[in-house]
Amino acid sequence: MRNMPWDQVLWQRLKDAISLMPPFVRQRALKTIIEASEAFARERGSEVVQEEDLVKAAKTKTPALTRQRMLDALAEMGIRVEAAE
Amino acid sequence: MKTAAPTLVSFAVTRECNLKCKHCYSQSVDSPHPRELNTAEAKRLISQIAEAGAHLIILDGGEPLMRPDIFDLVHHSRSVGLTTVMGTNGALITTEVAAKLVEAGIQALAISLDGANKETHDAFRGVEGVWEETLQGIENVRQAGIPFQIAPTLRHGRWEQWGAIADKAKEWGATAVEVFDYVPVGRGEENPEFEMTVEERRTFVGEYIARQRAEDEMIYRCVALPQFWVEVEKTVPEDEVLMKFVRSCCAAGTRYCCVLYEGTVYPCMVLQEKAGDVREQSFVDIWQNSEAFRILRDRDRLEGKCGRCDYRYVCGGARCRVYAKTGSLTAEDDACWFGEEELKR
Repeated sequence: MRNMPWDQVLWQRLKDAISLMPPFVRQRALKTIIEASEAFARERGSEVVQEEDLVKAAKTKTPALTRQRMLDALAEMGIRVEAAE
Repeated sequence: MKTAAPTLVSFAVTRECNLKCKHCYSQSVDSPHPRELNTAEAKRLISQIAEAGAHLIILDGGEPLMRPDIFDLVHHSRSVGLTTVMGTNGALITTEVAAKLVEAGIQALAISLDGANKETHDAFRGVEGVWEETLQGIENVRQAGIPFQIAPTLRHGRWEQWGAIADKAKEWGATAVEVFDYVPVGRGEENPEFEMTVEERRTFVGEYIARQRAEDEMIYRCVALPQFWVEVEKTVPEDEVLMKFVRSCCAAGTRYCCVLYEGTVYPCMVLQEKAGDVREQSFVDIWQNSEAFRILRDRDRLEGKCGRCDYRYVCGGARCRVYAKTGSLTAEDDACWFGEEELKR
């Protein structure tokens, strides 16, 4: 599913957040968010996906219908959604 | 920090019920509560739940279909943008009622089934003959094309029937099974003998996980048994967890809360610490500022084993059972079966 290394704590938090979503929503959301996070990490020349990449992906690439839900779930798991504006 | 919106809110629209279940958390009887929210108040509450950012509302009770304005409430809930589902015992769902539910805009139903046969179900539900009525209700729901899940209560001496209930749910075309672990609150306080032992819970969870692993079509969820998720993480490969398993508990006060028929807000239907009253404060204000919710949202306040556990953000112990036994929102869950070493993630 992942094509490059992720910060381990970040990956765990994403898994925790996504586990709340129904599978039919989750599968598409997860694929989109992983691909986008990795693209943002590469764009800034990083070899590891970090929090800022994930938050940017969640804010810009999650389908509108599930975006807020995804951001709330990430925030609940301790990801600094606000700070990465 | 900004308070996250609730994912779902349950609204027990009435205390009135056609059954006399032994575990009823809302102490339902055969008449409405004298201070039941009227239609205008109920609609205002539903609007406020939408304003709070909730995605989904569960209309339950009592038996929600006992309330004369229920179809109006369903319609209103849809009109303010909430995904609207109903928790029902199914016994009152005739073909006409099913058609009215569709017309009002209901999106799914959760139907309680507390046994795999007439004897077990009727005995627990307190009314002879309700098994047949519930099965007919399920058939009417199926015919009307309303998605539904089956919701059994797990209890000591009868929990083993869950597998047979799940078989029936699958055969009937249910989308999910959502089991409720018996919590001695409401009328359930009078029947503590129904509470499962720790060993029974652990055995159940093992079976439940195996069932989900073997199935792709149905979803298996748990309420009041948050250790389910810890066991999932410890025993199921990551890719499979990500694709199939759903975590739902404990969400009390963090992603979920419950409003009773007379306006009292609780963190959960089975965690009955008053967080507010919608006749005195708006729902949004209660959701954002209630002290009970603040405590429950801070998992670093958990005590004892729960406080030491690396899984506290995804489990946190069965807060409902802890509260029922100790009156504390933060004490450790002494029904957790994991040893000290297993608390490390």
